[in-house]
Amino acid sequence: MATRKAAKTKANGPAHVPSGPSQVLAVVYGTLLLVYLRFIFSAGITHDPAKVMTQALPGLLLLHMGYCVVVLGNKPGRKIGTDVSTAMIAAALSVFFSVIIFGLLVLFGAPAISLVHNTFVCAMHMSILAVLPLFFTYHLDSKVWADIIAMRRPLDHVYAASVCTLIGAWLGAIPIPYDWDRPWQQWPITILAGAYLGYFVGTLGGIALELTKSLCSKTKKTE
Amino acid sequence: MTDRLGPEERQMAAAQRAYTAASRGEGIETPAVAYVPRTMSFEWTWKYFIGLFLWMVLYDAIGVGFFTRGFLLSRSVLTDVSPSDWQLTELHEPPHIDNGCWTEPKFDKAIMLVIDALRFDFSTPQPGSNKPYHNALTVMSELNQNQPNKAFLSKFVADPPTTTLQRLKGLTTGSLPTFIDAGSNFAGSEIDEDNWVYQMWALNQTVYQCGDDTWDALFGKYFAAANPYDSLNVWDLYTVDNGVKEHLLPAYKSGNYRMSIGHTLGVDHAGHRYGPDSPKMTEKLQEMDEYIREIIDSLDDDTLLIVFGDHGMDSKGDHGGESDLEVDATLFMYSKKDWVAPNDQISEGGYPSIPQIDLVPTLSLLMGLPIPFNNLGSPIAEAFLGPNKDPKALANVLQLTSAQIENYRQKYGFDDLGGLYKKTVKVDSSKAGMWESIVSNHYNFQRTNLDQCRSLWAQFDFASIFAGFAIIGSSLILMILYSRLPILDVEGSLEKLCNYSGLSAFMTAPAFYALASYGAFGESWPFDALWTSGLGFCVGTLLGYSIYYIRHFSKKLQRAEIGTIAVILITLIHVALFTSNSFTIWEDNILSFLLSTIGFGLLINAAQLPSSNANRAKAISHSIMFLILTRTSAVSRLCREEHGDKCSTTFYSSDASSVSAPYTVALLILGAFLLPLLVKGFLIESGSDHGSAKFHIWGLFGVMMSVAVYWFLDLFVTEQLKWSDPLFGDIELLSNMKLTIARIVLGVTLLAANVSWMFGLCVEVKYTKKDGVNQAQILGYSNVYGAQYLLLVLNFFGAILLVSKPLGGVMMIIQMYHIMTTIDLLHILETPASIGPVILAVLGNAYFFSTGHQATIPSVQWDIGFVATNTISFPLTHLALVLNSLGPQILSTVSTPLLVLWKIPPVRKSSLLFASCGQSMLVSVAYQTAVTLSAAVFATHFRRHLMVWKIFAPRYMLGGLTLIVVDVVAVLVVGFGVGNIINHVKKTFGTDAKKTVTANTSLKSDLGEQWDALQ
Repeated sequence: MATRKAAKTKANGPAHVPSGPSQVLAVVYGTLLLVYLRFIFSAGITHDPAKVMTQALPGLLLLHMGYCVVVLGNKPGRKIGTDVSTAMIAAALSVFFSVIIFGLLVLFGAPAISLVHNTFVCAMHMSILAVLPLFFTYHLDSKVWADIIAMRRPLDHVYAASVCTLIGAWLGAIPIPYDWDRPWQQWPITILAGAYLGYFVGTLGGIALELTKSLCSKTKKTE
Repeated sequence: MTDRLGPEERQMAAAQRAYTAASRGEGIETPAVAYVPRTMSFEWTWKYFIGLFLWMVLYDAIGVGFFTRGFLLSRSVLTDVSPSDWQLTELHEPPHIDNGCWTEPKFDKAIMLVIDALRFDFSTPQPGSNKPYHNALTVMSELNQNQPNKAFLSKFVADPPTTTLQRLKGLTTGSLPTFIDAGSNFAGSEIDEDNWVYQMWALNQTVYQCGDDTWDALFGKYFAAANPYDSLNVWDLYTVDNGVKEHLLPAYKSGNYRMSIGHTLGVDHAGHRYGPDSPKMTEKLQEMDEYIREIIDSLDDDTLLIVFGDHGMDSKGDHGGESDLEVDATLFMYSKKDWVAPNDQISEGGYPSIPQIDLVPTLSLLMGLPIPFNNLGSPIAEAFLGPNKDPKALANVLQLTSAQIENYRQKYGFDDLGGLYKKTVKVDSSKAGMWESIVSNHYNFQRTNLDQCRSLWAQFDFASIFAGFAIIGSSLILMILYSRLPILDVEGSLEKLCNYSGLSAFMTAPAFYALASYGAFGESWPFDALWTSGLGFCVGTLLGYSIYYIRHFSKKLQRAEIGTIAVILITLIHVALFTSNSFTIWEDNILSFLLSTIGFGLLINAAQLPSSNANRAKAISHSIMFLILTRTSAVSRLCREEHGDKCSTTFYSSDASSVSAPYTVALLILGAFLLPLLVKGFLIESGSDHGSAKFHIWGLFGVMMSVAVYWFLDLFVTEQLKWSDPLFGDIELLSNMKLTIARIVLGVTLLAANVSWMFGLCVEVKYTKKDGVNQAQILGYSNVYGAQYLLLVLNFFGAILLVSKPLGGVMMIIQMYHIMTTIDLLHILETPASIGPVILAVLGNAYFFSTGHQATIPSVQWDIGFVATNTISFPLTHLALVLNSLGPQILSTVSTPLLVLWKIPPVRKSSLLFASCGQSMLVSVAYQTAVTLSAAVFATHFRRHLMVWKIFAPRYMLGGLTLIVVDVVAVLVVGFGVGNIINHVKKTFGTDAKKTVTANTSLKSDLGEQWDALQ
């Protein structure tokens, strides 16, 4: 037990996540994504989930890449927009990563044969939401990724958003069994909505954690 | 070396476990008990634990018994049929009968219109009310007022539960409703008591039915024609009603049918969907009003029209319970000729109140049919008195009914009500008003009988229900408290705790019995002496336990750590499922989802292991395997009716069949090759594939192949496969071969293999020459308990495999692999002691659904009862059914001690190890208890729910049964399995304190020296 604890505290360095104004921007962006979700719903996701979700993919990809470049890549001493190529690589990686998310969805009980298209598009949404910023921030540092998978990293708002996206998708499964016969109970609409909401909540929660942490360290310093 | 994967580390991991630390006297927590901890001898721990678990069986059985007795109303079903030519000798001045059976029929034909949930106040005048459901359906009261000799209107009181299925049974058989009709055919909802539909069919009289398909399910084969409509879709107010309108009158007018039945659901659905207080209800009632008028217009003179509601609805529009609003329905009878006695009180707005079962003798005798054998109702007086109020006609039918009821009472074995029937039939013809006195005597007899039956059969008994809650709940609390104690205290306090509780219970149980026999609890005490003594037993246990517990441990419970929180969360999720009918229906998918979540948590836990840990890769691959196996097991499904089209059955070869597809047998054969290899793979890591393991693994292969052959032959018997070879065409020969195989497999797995198991260990001494010195090693030393115990699990597995249908068998193989993976994984992760048993319990519950079961009575695989016998015989049939239905839970329970025993070397304090196993069994049983308690509580909470008898009550039955079976299996596991293995190791390796093996030596990898030293 002792060794495991030590490993936990020795997580690989502090997060490279910018703070200050970019936190505000992150919240704004999270809200923007909720608006985007509303837009997906008004585009008729309940009539044809697969089609509407597929059409919404490029938009999400662009939004998220833009967010990475403008907000996450905003570090002191660097011009905004220098990381476009990184963002593109991260985007490509996250699209590939959706295969793993798809696998996870199936392992959690998604239909394996029917509705593959729906499930896969949902996995792509989740992968872009959760994994793209991680690839952008941490590149392919295997140590960091091992920590990410083992839930050993401190919860900055990027990581928290990713974790909460998955938790939100998990919670999204809850309304499906109800016998309400609503169109939005179709697979995988609730999962998708849960993921987006989770992303937003995770961003907020992560920022709250960061703020309390910095407050604590400040008070310690003044003492 | 015995162990390629870091033997020292493994030994250290094992050493970290509490009991080993304790057994070595290093770093023991100070025990809570005030006295110096005096650990018992192993033999006594063994005995006391058997006692503890036996105690638990009894305690839980009493709790489940109390609840069941209060909740599931039960009576015996007699399948006798009333004869059509019954000559009654007692009948006083019997009238001459030309045609008809027991009476001259009064009507040629009849139309029966059932308006589901037609409450009494919907159809009677409610002056001044402006509720949407009042004064909308007026035709009945108008006719009753204007044509009192032609129309009859009354309150029609239902016997709860007020659900349509139960009501229709009552309205056709004349008997009181119960949930378990003991002795009836569980498998189908088909009715098997005598009823008037059957009687008409038997007399070649045609019956037509349209509307609610419940009729079709109950009486389908007795109808000359029918147009059933789906009754479950409460969102649809129109389809059924329009169907009835389309078919009922044309069927009547065609003249082909003596009886035409229509059953509309619009009013009921409007109630469920919108509640009575809605304009939809007005609309629906007005529609019914018009339709009744339309029917009356087309009636001829010799037709009887009967309109009634089978139950009412409560203020929210639901029904199922026993409130006045739910039980008070409407009965209306009409014919164009003068036939009925007028209602004297109509001017004051008074209506007669009639039990629903009275319709049965009334209808039978009006139509000249025999009264159904089980009938308890009485003829409606007005219908037989006639317009002239002639008591002689009524007295005649009353005598017939009384004779039928007395015949039933004798057959059922009731007491004779103090000779009441004899007094009733004695007629004093000298007195004036003789007929009147006959009428009142017979009514008295029939109602006395009905009251007695009703008090025996038809009430929710809340005293029993709450006693059941209290007992099951207290057993849960006792188990949790005990399993939260530090292990030293568990073992140290066992003796006293058992003595205290036992003594106290043995004093209170007889005391309660005596007090109850002398009536000391007062008149209103609801239980008889035997049940009271059961209650006393529980109270005594609780008392003794609490006295001891509070004195010694009140402050010493272990604090909750992360693992415990996970345990609580998992349990809460499962327990919370029963708060909703949807979640209860989809429990199968939800449990898989829960299991996947657990697997994912384990995966993260495995990833958190330091990379220096040599077992990290194995832990990760195990947890991924856990996820894959969970998903694979979820592929096999049996849909229940409520799943609708969102589910398709994969367990059988198609949605509409109940035979297994041939490919499943091929999978079974594949499994017979794979599983023994997998078992060997798990054992080989600790060098335990020696000794008795070799023999058992081959035995496992043999048993699994035999089972596969059994099901292969079954394919020919069920004609799934055909072969021109005469051998495979001879069904009788094949059946005999099947029977032989089945009996051999059961004998081997349940008896022979277990006896041989008692004397084996998976160890072998190997001599090597090292540096010129002869050395001996004990192979399998580091897993001496676990490996051997796994073989016992495999014995049970073999028996369960035989009684599983082929795909169920494949799922059991997967579960076996799943269990082994889980145990190895949890061993590497060193999870807290309480989490393993709960994961295994969830696993068992999830595989219950994978093996083609659901929490419904129709999904029980009754045909499995005949695997090893041709006729129903105790115990083979019952054993097969239990092993088939609860096999996954049983397998999980049997495997639970492996969590403690897996991969540890012999320990010095055997009694502590035993206590540790006992504690993990307690956690497992506590989990099942929590689930059962929740199912019981919510079944009671939803007793007015539309589907209580379809969803919640069957789930409770599953829970209660699982709890008892798991309890019994726990006794076997602790008494036979764990006790024997620990005892055997203790004897073989001499690990008692007085022997020379010291703690440090077991940490050395080269154990052979010690072995030699011992020799």
